[in-house]
Amino acid sequence: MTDGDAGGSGVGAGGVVGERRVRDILGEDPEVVLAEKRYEAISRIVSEVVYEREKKWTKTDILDHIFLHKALGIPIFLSLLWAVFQFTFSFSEPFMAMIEKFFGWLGGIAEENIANEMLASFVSGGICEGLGSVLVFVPPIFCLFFALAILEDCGYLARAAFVMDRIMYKLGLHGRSFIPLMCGFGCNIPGIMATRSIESEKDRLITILVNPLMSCSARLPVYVLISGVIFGAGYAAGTAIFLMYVLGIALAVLMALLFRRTLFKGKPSAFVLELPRYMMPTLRSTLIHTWERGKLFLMKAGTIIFGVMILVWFLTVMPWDATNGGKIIENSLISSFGHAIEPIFRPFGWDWMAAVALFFGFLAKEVVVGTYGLLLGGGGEEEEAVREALVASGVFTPLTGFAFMAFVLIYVPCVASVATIYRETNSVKWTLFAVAYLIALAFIVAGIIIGIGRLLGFS
Amino acid sequence: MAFNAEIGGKMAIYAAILGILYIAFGVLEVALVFSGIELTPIPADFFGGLVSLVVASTYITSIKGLRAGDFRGLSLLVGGLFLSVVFGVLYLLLMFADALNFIIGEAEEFSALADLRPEIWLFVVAIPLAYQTWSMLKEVPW
Repeated sequence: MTDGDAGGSGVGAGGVVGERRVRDILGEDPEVVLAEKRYEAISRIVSEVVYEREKKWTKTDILDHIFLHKALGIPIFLSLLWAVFQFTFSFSEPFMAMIEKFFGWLGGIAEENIANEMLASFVSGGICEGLGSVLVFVPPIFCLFFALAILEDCGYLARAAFVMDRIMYKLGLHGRSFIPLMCGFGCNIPGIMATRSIESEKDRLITILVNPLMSCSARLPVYVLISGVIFGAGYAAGTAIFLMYVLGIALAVLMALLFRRTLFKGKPSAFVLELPRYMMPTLRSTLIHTWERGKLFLMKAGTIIFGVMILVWFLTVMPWDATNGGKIIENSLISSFGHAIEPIFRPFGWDWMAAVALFFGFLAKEVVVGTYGLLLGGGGEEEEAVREALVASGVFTPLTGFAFMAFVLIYVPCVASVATIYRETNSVKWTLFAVAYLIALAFIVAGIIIGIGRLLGFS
Repeated sequence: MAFNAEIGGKMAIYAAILGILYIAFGVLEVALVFSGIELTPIPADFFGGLVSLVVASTYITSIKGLRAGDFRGLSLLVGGLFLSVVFGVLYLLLMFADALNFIIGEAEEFSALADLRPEIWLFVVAIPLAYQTWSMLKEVPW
């Protein structure tokens, strides 16, 4: 191909024009086409002049053959993902119960020994019930990070990215997007920031827009709570949580396809990934990785979540006299607010408490659980765990609970994630678009779940 | 001990037995979800049953390659054994969690027999084959 054919002079501005002309003719990045042609020529020459002895299999070849298998690669990946969530939910249950008992005991001590009623309510309600109902989820969060750390440290996660790329490319998502999307399972913020590695601006924007659909660890407490309420202990609850993560992945792929066909037309650029070596993860390195990620949750609990729980506690106990020190929730400021916005969520079978929990969940998703802890913990004579209180209230059926979990998965990400989207896109337009489409999608998907469920006879 | 067709043939028989058992229990676990019948210790577990079928498919697809002494077959067998170990250990950990729940008073009863679901037994059955495969692969470089 000569410069005349390409229509340019070879270097400088003419070279740029020539490159564009080549891209228009070939329909692909010229560098990719040149690389493909180069390797085709090499393969042709090698096949004619080189005699290969029988291939000697290495351990890496053996493992790659199964983990990157055309037919079995994805089922194996989904099976391992399911195992991760079974471990996260079911193994952590007794440890959650121990933390629950501890905060319940602490709240009781505070109520009995602190003379000042408002201070006693603050310690018992705001700290023990509110913050405590969030810290109860430390075990499942650390279990999740522990399991993901093992998958990452052994080298499997990169293979999973390669396996998923086959589907993702066909659906219009760049293969390199898988790593930021997998990061989103821990927290959407580093996931969004990790899109900096994607060269194409269109691919990058698509990945940023769908990253919030990857269910972050902050949503896990909500899933654990609601699935425990509607399914009890056991495999069904862990499976419901697994389905939330699968739903998030499915929606991310679907929205990426939609964006690729509408807002960002064109094919994704080529994906080249160097697979890391397989390694036996050591307990020490796995625990270090687990702690590095888990401590972010603890820091968030100690700052943002604590601050928001204080605000929610205040709204729950005020006016002090009308609520009788927070015992009559219905007379509180938060109840008035909740009833005002309840009509928006009533069609889904959710009450004003769910509405309030979702509203404050914008600040930090864990606050959804903390809000329930405050709203349900202060009304009865005995200290009740949030889960038992929700079961007793009967507000969630399996159908409405599942739809609630899906809504929490999809609706607007936390305020910190929204700020990160703005910082990475440097665009108010795309930030507002992300918020708007996620809220709309949440209502649509929750509505579909409720609609299909009612058609099938569920209440 | 090097991998060849003779050794592969014997491993294929073992893989076939494991594959059939995993299929049987996988189908049962899925079927019990819809039948409502209780068949302790086989749980009614839709996704757990599907996972067992995935494990079964790796064992079954490994048979042909193993009999031919092909490393592709050995690779599929390694995948099946890996999944057997992962899920066997997982369900043992869940059994421990149930026991702990009972000890701290969160569960009214605990029955080790009820928690010993088929995947745990199959994990134990797979251990000799896993050990032999591991010994064989020690000689293979990374």
